[in-house]
Amino acid sequence: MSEILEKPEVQKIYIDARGPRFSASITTIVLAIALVTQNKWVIVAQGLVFLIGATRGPQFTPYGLLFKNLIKPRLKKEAPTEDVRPPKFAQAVGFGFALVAAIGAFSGASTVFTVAVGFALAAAFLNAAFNYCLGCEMYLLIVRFTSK
Amino acid sequence: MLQVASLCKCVATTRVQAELLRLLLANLSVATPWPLCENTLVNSYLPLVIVLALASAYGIWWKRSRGAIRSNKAIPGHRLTEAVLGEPLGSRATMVQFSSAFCAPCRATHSLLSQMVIPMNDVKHIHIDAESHLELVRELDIRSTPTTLFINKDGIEVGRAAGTPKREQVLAALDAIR
Repeated sequence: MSEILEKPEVQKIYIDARGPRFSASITTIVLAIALVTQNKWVIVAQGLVFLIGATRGPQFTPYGLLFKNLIKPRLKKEAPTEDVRPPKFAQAVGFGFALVAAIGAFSGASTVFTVAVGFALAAAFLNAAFNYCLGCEMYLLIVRFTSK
Repeated sequence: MLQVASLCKCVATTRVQAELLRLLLANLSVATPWPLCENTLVNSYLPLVIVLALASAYGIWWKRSRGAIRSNKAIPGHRLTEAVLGEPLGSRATMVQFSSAFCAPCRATHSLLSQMVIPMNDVKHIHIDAESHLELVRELDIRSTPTTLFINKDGIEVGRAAGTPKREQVLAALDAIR
């Protein structure tokens, strides 16, 4: 296997690849509720979920734990695994949007709230419905623009 | 009737607005047997509908374009040589895959392509780490990983695919390189 995909200095953790997708479905529903009700506490709660996912890992969020304990035992097929880092990155992006949305909500800027929640919802929905890998799409562009 | 009334219930953005409206109607002597429906259903659900519609359209387009070989992104006059790639080119065609350590589809693409070239003695698969070849990435305007360039024996790009291509797409692209 090419060493490009296996950089030895990073300790790699692999998770069941179906977990993040399940979490994305729950996230989509929660964000849809936040968008429709314009309720700031829903976005605060989801922001905390994103924070856990971005720092500890998506497998430690309530959705991830739900997947592990309730859904996964009922799945028959062999688990496809993936590197934890792309889903972790996606959670960090989600947290960024949720933070902006929360700031908007608490300062009365409802347009900021709606737009930020809208973007987070789009990202979660794309992951859930199309298995869109946000990390893969954004990562190289970020590296290109931030390196010399 | 009560259910409809509660659905259309005025969720006024400010209480002042509601008060003003009530005063206005009282002054106009207009009797409204139902609470004023300010299309709040639409207001509440419109952003959601817009987001999901746009995201779906983008998602469908993105899914379809994964793995599809596009021949309009080649940089005119640009040649990939053995010196640049670090390995000799295939005698007929070469598939140059750009990957990063941060991407699951890159793994799948690498598996597929490296397996496919085993029985082909005139086609080679070269694997490049995008992060350590940023100059090349910028020259070729590579924006995501995996991106696989299909080049002929002279190092000219004939097509490229973003995302994991299907076996048939790869075979068709390679067949076109003569």
